[in-house]
Amino acid sequence: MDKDVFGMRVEAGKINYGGHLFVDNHWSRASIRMVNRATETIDHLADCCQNLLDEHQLVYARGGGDPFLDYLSTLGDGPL
Amino acid sequence: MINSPGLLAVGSRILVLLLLSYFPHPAHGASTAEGVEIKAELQDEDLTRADLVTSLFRRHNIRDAHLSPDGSMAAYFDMPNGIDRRLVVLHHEQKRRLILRQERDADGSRLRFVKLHWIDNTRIAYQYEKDDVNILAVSTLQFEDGKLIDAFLHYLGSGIEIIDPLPHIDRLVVLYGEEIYKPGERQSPIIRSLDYAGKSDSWRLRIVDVTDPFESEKFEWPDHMKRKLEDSHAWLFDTRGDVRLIVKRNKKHELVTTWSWSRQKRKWLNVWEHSFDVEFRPIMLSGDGKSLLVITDFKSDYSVLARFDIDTKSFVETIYSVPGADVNSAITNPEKTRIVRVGYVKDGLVRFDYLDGLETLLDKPLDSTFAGRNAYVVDRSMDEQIVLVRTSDTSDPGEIHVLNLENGRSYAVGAIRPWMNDYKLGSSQIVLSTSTSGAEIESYLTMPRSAANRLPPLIVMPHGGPKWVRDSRHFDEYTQYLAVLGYAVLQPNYRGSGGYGKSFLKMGEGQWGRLIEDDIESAVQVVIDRKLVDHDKICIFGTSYGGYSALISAVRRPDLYKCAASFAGVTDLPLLFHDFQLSLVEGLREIVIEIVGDPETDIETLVRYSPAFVADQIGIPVFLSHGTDDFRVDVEHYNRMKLVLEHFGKDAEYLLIPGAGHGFDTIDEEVIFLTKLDRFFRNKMSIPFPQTESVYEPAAVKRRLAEIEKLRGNGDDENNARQAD
Repeated sequence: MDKDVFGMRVEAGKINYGGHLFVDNHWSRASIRMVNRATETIDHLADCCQNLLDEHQLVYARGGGDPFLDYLSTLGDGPL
Repeated sequence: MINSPGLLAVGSRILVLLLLSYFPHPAHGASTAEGVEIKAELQDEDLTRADLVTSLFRRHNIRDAHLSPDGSMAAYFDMPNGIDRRLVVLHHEQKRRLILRQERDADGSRLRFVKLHWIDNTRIAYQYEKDDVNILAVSTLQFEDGKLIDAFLHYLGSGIEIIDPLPHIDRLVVLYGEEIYKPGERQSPIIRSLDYAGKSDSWRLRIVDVTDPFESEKFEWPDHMKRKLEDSHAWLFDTRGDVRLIVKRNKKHELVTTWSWSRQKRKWLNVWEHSFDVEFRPIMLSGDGKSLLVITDFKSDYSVLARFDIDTKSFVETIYSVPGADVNSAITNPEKTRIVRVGYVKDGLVRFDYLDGLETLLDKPLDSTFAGRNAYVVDRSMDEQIVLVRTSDTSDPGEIHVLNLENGRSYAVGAIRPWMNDYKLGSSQIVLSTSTSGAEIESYLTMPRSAANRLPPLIVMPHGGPKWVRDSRHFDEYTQYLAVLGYAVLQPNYRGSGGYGKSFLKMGEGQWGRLIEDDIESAVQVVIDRKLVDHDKICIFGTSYGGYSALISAVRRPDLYKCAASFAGVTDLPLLFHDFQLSLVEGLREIVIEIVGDPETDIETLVRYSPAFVADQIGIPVFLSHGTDDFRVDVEHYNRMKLVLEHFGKDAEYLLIPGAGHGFDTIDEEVIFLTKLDRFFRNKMSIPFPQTESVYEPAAVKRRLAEIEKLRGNGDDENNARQAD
């Protein structure tokens, strides 16, 4: 796998989310997709470990970050 | 919801959880649970909708019709029982129809026809898929005393695709990507010819001799010619089918290079190199190899057919241009010695201009078959005396006819969707408007036939894209679904739409939520000013970019629209740049930046024009829908929009369709979506469902009601595949 394609930047003290990796199986070959499904990650964390979400900021750890996660954090009693 | 996160890292300790989801695509039955649920609660109104949707999206009665080289026969795929497709040949003079192959094999298994070609006057090659394998076969027609009596079948192999059938000689050009199947040496001479072209990782270009395999085995293509063919993606052939010109792209998709083969110098010559955003589409090489006819926009705003001099690398002559429209196709005769026709879209309709004035002869058949209809020639015999004519426009579901130009007689091959004549179809008109910065916008307004005594409600339906795509005035399923149910439908070709020249294309770049929506609203205003629709009952609906446009319009113009509906709509512009493909395909990120904007330099603008970031400003009801398996606009766009709409307590309805992609694969999915969409519009605009007599032609009411009775309680059928087979 290409490091540049799958690499992520990890920040201390934050929940670093790098995307969902899907492997689609076609007979003897497989295709790979990396998708930002941050809202599903929020749902998952809220179900399993809300305390983690309460104590640490969730950030998208690839590319230039995800402005939507920043936006959600401004919504007061919102999803984050 | 998938309940495991992807790559996660907490603090300095990296916790990597890889979600490995092995998901062979869910069968279309994935939507069945939802479909059954909806069908169980179907009201009579919903049955009427389901019947209409099924009629619109069922597979066509006839498709892919082609004339034999001598014009005496037409071959096509038909489907008379509405379920099983057949390959058929029709002899017009003998009035004889022969079935060459059934979609359902003798053992009950099914195949899927892909396309067909006439190789010569007695052989029809056709591609089909079976068990995920692409197979090429040939039917050889048998005649007795000149009468068509039978046909024999030969299998040529798998993974083969015909590129040029070369009907005037005993050769054809094929691409193949897998081992050739050899059922028997004598029975299938075509596959015994030598591969004398090049190969890349996934395909080879091959020219085969259909009559003399041993002669073609003697042929050897020079190695240096093979090498150049590697990774080429377009080719021109001469009258013998020899490769004379190839087109290659560099890996970054920045440069396109065209090469021609010099017989004198026995080497490839660089014809021209140009950037990706310049159109330079080779159509025909002159006999002496010195000039090339191309479709290009290099020297003009609109694409034209021009002559390019290879020695001087310059454009020397415009051969054909159309005021106000891009030339989008040009076809040569089979011998590749002259241009036969050029194609373009004008006034929303496909036009083919035959350089010998052929199209004017359509006005002179002995009967009135084509009177008042939009008819155009789609195929012609080698002697050019017999032509295949297709009719099509907004309210014409399409017919195919053979016309003999010598005697003026026409012969119906068949109708493409004959059942659509049961419905009161809407008809279209052109709407011109002037938008911001003086841009002239062409839109199409389809008016329902059922609105005799009142102005109809309007659905504004911007197309996807936004760049290169366009709408037309040909028969459109979504437009007619809405028109038959009593809505007027407006389809604006906003800036960035294809076919109006490269300046117009360029004007649409980086205008998401801005000038593009100005264009759309300018068209709506003209329709309101002309009192063609009820100005108090207007909603906007679209797919992909059209879905985005609907959502952002719910923020921009709550005063204009009563409601907005999106399927597969983009809701978060910065999220587009998280697409994995942008990391894999060189040059793709730059193209997306050009169309959308640059997240590095202008993230604030992208955020400001993203519906998911401004949902608090939405002032009208919203219908939000998406497929779970959309690989183009990921379902995350839907999830984000739903999250914020719910957070702000907006009036919104949601429909997530399991298994659906960027469009729909099954009629069940179409029924689910379009039923809920129409319910939403009627609810938000307070419109009653139309009376039966407003939906159907009087003579068809009994027939349609009988079809509706069949739908009641009928949860499944074998014809659930959409028409695009």
